[in-house]
Amino acid sequence: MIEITNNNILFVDDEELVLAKIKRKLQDYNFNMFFAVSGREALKILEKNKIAVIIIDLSMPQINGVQLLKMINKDYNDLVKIVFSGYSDAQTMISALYSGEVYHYLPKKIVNKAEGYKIELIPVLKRALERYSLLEENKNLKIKLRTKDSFEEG
Amino acid sequence: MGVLSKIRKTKKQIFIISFALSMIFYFPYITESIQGFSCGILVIISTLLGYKKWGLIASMWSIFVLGLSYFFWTSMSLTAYLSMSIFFIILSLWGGSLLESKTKKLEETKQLYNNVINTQEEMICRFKVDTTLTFVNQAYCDYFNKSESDLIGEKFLKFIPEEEHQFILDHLENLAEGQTPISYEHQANSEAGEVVWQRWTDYPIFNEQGELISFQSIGVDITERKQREQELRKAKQKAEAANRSKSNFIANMSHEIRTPLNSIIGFSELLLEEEKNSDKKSKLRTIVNSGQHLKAIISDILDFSRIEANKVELEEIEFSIRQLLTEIKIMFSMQDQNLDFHLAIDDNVPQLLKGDKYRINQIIINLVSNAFKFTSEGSIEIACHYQDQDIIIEVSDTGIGIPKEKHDKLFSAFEQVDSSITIKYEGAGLGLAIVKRLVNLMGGSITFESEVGIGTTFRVRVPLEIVKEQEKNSDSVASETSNQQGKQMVKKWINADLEIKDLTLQAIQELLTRIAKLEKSVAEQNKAEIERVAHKLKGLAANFNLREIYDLTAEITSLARTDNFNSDKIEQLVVNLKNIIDTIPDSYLLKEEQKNFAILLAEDERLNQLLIKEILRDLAVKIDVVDNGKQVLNKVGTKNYDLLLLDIQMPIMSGLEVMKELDIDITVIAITASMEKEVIEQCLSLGCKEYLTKPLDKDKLRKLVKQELGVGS
Repeated sequence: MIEITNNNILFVDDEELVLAKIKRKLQDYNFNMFFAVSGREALKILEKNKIAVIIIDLSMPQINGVQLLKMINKDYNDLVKIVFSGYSDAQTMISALYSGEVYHYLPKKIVNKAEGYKIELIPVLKRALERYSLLEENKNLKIKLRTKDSFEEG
Repeated sequence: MGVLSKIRKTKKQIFIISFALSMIFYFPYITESIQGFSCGILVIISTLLGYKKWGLIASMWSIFVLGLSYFFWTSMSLTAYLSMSIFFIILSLWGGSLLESKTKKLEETKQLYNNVINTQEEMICRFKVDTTLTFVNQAYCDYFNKSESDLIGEKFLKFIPEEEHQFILDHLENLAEGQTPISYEHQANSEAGEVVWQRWTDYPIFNEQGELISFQSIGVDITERKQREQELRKAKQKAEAANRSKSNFIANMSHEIRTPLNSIIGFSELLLEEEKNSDKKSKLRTIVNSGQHLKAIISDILDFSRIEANKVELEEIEFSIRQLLTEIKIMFSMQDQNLDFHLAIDDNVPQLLKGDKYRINQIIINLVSNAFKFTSEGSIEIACHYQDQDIIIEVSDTGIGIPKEKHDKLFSAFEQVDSSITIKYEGAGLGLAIVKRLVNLMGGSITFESEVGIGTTFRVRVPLEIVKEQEKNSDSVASETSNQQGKQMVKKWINADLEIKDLTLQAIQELLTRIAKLEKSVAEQNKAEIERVAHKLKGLAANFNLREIYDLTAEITSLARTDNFNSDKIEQLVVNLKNIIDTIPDSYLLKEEQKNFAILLAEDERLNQLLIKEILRDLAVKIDVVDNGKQVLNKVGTKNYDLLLLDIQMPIMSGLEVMKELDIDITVIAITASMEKEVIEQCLSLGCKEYLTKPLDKDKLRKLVKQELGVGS
């Protein structure tokens, strides 16, 4: 069992009602949720908090999902990135996948349904958090290893 | 009187002329026969005229003249002379007796006339145009306590208070013009200073030339009658006031009784819902049932007194008697499964009728529940057919029947067939009395046939107008059904995920602005914007299970993305979208964004406040309570209330007054203890959206509040 060290999840969607719905649906799980209604707000939250997983709706005005992904790729590369998209957004989705290391793609249809959360979203989020923890642990181990190596070398 | 004196005058003249002539004819040169003849003429004339003495003198004179002529001129035979003399004497005697009888007759007539006039209780007087009295009868003298001589020749105006003079003179003027008798009632002061009332019937008297010469007046004292009238009027007012206060008393009493009863039933029902223990449950059910029974009796009494006081107004509603009867059948079938219960509706019964649906329902339910009450085995049947523009409804049972001697009393109030069975067959005994009065009010009739031990059939016949199919307002029916569909659709959306019900409702409220945005971008032919807005709306619809919206927006999104952009098609889809929105009841669309609904409850009865709060507890609404109208007006502006539950009967300021003063747009549900149509209509016309009557039905209240708040059921 992987120890979850950080369960901060940021949801980015310009539809506040959708965010409210997500909050309601996930309230009984052990997630520490953050919500942003725009890319700009998302960046602010990312600056102030150590976020493990970010979930982005690709169709947003101003800074759209794809742009946001590109921006966070630069600064927060250990962040686990998940995107929401409708089937009809195939093109956007593909460009998203190629633009950065998107961990998972979630078709909107899945989360529209109540059971979609249980079947897909929640397991995906858990796995994403695990992945983040793994990556962190991996990174720490690597650092440890490197320091150890340098000790040994030095 | 004038004519009489004239005749008298003429008589005198005739006599003098004839007397003078007979004297002239007596000159010696004139033949005896002419002398005698002239004497004879004089005798005849004086006899005819009634001058008895002069007739005798004349006949003596003529005998004398004829005697002289016989002795001196002997030109006349003795026999002729004698026979002439006898003839004259007989003539004068006959004339005398004739005259005597005539005078006697005249005397008698005069006496009769005097008797009649003077024994009259009515006052009779005659007076000249200047009101100078020329004749008064005894009653007149007695009434004014004056002698005849005091009165005759005096102007009667003198005896009348000056302020009345103008009235009298005007009246006389009218009388002179109208030529017909005029009666009037007139108030005067008696000598003792008491107020007296007289009624005078006056008519004008004209001479032969048509000139007004005097008036005759007949009067009676009507002081007593007037007093009695006044007493009667007072008594009537008193009786009416008493009746009014009685009606008010009954209305208030029943209100006073119903308010606590309402609480008893309401709280017991709530307890019953919560209680799990079956023994306690059955006890609670007994409380509820008894309470409801008591409630029914009280409303019967109220209903009956309202009918008796002519306070019931009938409604004119289009309704289906078939549906009504079917509903009644279902209602009773569920209650009692031991009896066979049939409903037979003839094919000739029209689909739609116009009349007071509720009262007809009440009548039939009353009869059917009676049938059930008095029938322990066998069957009950409702039969309905249409005949000569009347609906005929028969309710038959195989029950205990009604003994012959009770037939007369059946429809009287507070009568039951056998008072000893009152305990077994509970009821105030008002049911049939109410039914009978309602049927009569509708212009119908109710009859029955009954045999003890075999059963009873009641037959109600009510004239009801048929509503022709095409008269139905098809528009309203269509909008009614589309509204129904809209409601169904919204319910489906909400029920898809109850966990996010409030969010779904908010999403529905978003629809209007979103679709307006979409419309705008379509109008601007802004392809990118159309795509964006439609796509977002699609996302929202998808998240909140707004299936119908999702389908259309998905189509719009994909159309907007295609290269050969077809704005006509998109416009059509937007119209479809708007049509869907139109079917959604406004209550779902127009709410402001709120997570918790707030209700303002205005109710002065503390128990009712508690009860209503209890009933609405599950709805998770915030309820603020005020107990008079003034406070409603103060409070309603301080917060965004979603709903105002307004009791109409409140102290300081009634609910109706509140409605008049209320200048904030808020949904109002009126709560009234009065079932009077006017009160309810007044509530609705003042802007109350719905109404509830006390005692409150908890399910109805919940349903209505949910409906108005847009919280699905």
